[in-house]
Amino acid sequence: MSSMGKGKKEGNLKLTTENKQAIRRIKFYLESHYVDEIYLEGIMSDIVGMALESQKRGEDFSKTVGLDYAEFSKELVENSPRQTYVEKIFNMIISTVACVGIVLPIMYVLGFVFRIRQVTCRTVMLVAPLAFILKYMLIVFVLQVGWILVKRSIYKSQTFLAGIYISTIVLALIVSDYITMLKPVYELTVEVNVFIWLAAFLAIIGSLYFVKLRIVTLTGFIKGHYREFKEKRG
Amino acid sequence: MNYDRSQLMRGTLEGCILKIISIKTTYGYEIIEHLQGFGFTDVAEGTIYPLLLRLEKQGNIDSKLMPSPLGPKRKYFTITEAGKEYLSQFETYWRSFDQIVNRILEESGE
Repeated sequence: MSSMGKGKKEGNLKLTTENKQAIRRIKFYLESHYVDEIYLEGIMSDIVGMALESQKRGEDFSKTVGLDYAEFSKELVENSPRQTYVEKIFNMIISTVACVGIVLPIMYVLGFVFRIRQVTCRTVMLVAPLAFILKYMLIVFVLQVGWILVKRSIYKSQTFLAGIYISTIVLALIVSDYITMLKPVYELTVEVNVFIWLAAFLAIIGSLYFVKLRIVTLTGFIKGHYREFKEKRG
Repeated sequence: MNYDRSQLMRGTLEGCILKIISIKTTYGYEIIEHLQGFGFTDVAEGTIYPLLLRLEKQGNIDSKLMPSPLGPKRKYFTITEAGKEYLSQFETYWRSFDQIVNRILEESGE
């Protein structure tokens, strides 16, 4: 698996811009359809290899693929194992925690560079109204969910998609403004030690990955034994 | 309205690929060259790659990365015992299917 990953990295240095873009779109499509993560790595390595060989032969990669890229991506999804429900739930939780948790460190850094009216940065402490923090956590969450939908629609009209994405963010800004005007949220101020916050959320993400890996391994082990048991019973 | 060959190809290409792999360990582009040599002129690597994934998922073929003269490592495929059994069943069904279809097509309707 590590050699395949290495091959893919070397390969990415030599791919043409057009082929890199095509491969990125295929990867987005497969990720958004929850293809098994390890399997996906193998597929991407194969596709990069296919693209490089077609370049070496002087062929157009789209001709090597034969189908249009959207059709090719659909075929790959249909013939690939998907993430289990456990993996999907954990991945969603991990990316939500990561997106939401990163808001405060970003505000902290920006607070030193720009004068943000509501934010005060004192040494390692960030002081801001709870409403302000909640608003931007909600926006980041919407951005993250929207990004999954953008990846899923990578072969559809990008202009239309950009319009929908921007409209959704604007709507989220309006809704979050309304929610954060509600008492007691509006009246509360938060004081956070940014480095402790950062350490805590990195620890949470690390723990979630560890638990996910354990559950997935255990589930695979149980499924494998159950299958063997069923085959023996005939 | 032109006849859509892709539906007919879908059902048979898998068996043809398995047969080619059963003859010797081979890789994607070489399989395409064989198929094109036999007459499947509009088959491309992208067409057979999902089928190779499926065959590997089913346990009918195994794959191994080996060095390639063209640069990146190449995936070579070999048939498994389960694949040989699958191929044998495909050959049996195909011969029977071929006979039935030919009898129908030769039917003059008199």
